[in-house]
Amino acid sequence: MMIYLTLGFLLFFALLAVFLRDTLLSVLSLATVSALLSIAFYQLNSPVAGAFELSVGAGLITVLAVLTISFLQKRKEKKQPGAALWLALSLALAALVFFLFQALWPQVLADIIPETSWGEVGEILWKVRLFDLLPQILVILAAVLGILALLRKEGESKER
Amino acid sequence: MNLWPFVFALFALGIFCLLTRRNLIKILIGLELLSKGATLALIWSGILRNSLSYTQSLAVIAIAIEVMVVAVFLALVYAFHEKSSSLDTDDMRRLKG
Amino acid sequence: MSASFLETTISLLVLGAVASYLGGVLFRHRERLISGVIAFLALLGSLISFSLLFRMTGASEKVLLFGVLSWQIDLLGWIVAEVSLVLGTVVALYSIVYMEEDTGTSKFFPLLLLMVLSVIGLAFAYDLFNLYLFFELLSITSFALVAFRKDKWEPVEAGIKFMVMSVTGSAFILLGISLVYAQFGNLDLNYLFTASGGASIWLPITLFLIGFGIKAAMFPLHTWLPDAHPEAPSGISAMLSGIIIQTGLFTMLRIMLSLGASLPWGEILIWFALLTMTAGNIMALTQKQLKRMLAYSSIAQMGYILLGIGMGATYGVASGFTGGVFHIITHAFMKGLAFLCAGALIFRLSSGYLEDMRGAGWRMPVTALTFSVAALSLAGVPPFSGFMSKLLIYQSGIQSGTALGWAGSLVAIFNSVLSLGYYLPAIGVLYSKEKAEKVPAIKEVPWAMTVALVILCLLTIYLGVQPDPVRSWVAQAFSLLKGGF
Repeated sequence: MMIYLTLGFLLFFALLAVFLRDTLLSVLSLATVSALLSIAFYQLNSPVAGAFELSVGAGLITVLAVLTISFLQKRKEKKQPGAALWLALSLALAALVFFLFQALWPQVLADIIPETSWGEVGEILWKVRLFDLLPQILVILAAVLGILALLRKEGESKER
Repeated sequence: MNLWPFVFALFALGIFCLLTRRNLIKILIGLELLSKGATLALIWSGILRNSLSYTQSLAVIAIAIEVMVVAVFLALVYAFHEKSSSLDTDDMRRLKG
Repeated sequence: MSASFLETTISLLVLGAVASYLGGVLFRHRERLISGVIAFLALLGSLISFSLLFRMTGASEKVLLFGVLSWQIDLLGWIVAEVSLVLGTVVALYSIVYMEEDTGTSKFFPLLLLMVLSVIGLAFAYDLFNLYLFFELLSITSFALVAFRKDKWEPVEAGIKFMVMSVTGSAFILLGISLVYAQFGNLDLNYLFTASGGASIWLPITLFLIGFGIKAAMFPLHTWLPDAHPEAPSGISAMLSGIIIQTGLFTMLRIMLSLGASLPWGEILIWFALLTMTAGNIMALTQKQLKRMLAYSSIAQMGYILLGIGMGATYGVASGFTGGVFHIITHAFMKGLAFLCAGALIFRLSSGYLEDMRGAGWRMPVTALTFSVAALSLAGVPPFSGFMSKLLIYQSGIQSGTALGWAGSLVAIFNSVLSLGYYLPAIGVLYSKEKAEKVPAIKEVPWAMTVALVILCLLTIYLGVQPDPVRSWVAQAFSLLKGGF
């Protein structure tokens, strides 16, 4: 079963993410975990969740994390291994992800990809579970306000 | 086919990571593994009930919330780094729970 | 009809949050005043419109808000949400003055409004996933508010600890929701109540117990609380200790009542209650900072609430449930008052240590007097409100007529006496003859803060002398329940 293979790979990269000593490498492993999870979703017939996981989980979160790490490490001016090494590693990871995608994509298509899936999910999101929209918007609003509050300029606050 | 073992393996790994690692980025990875396990569980429960579209829409919302949580966490990490110039939780000893 | 009042409440809170942020950003020189006053007015307006809802609540009733948001309102949820609105309004008034030295207040007040709104959502939502979303809203607002003074080390550290534990809990809850869905194919709590009879669902129940237990600071999962509550700005400490941890418990209760009818979770709650109570009190005894002491005392008081609810669930004693929820109400006001008083002292003295507060009571009479009321009430001394709610909880144990019930009541009474061991010294410090270094130079806090203190103090005394309309509402709310609603 393909799905077990994908999830086995996923667990392997999850182990790497936990045990690798270098933070940047482990964040990249986490991105791989995300990408593999989205492939697993495709295989499990959930293309919408897969697309979301790929773009948001593997993409956005990784970018945020890598930006934070590189920003913080630059400020510390810690000596880093050469940029070429990073480039090579990221390329290798990207190639692996691409390969898996290539290997698995046709089968998924050949299997039962429900053509209405996108429409159905949209239908449920916007009709059946419309009442989730308000809390979702509020969570986003709260997160934006919270981030603004936490990243605001240093002010002198009295000891209190 | 049974995917619950994978879900619980992800959860176990995430909890292990949270308990043993001392770096804030590693802690973030632990939290992420937990969230991924939970998303996988959502999709799998939809397969079991044969209502994939429904759980997919739940999973989409859950992923969106996950990003918000990660963003707030990274903002906190940044604030922590401002104070301590490190990402090591061993520097977190001022407060004793 | 009831929908329109609830719609007004929600719109006022959401629009208030946006207006308060924009007002603060546009008028940067008057940031705190503008955004604080807008937030206070929005809270006051929504409090009024929400109170008008009272006459229409009773047995649970489905409402459709804004044509999309379907909730189910009942008396029990109304009580919890009303407490959070009252406390939120008072805290907003207090914080307008209290936050005078802080930057970024245009983010502080909107987050406070959203926090109150999340409690309303948790009180009325009946879909498990919708509950989870409001729970996340509650979590995110509280992380940002705990770490709000991010220029200092401790709040950031406390925020990170809180966040790690809380996000772990959320993941557990989401896993629990998936397990429930896999078993029943539906997330509606009403449906689950009828469907779950006799099914073995110990795993999701355990996951919910851990997930909400982290938020509710149940004994082994409480470790974030004594850091997060004291390090937050005092108004937020009052909100967190007064209503937020109880909301975690309340949500857990609602889910348990709907799902876990066939499980012995009541007994588990009693054991956790006794552990939580004793551990909280013993640790509170050793604290040297006032707010830390109050935070540990919150853990102990959560034990009482858990004990009442556990008694109600295990032995079917009505006074257990009533006492537990009535204690949520009285505790919200008295612990809120205690934290606001501590904040007032810190506002003038710039130090949270008890030894720096020696003799401050003579210079700040209102603060010291209201603090004494709060502390005595928390220790369960008559005629204050804490005594009335604790009395119901002791009663429930004795009425159960079982060994565990009696033992529980005795441990609870012993704990009340134990808690006098730290409340009385704290009052004694404020009224000591010998004065600490900074004390002679201070004066009473500004009027907005004293008004907030006096309102909560009057509520505490009123509920102690005249508990009845409120206490009977709680009893009535429980008699109307069918499952979680």
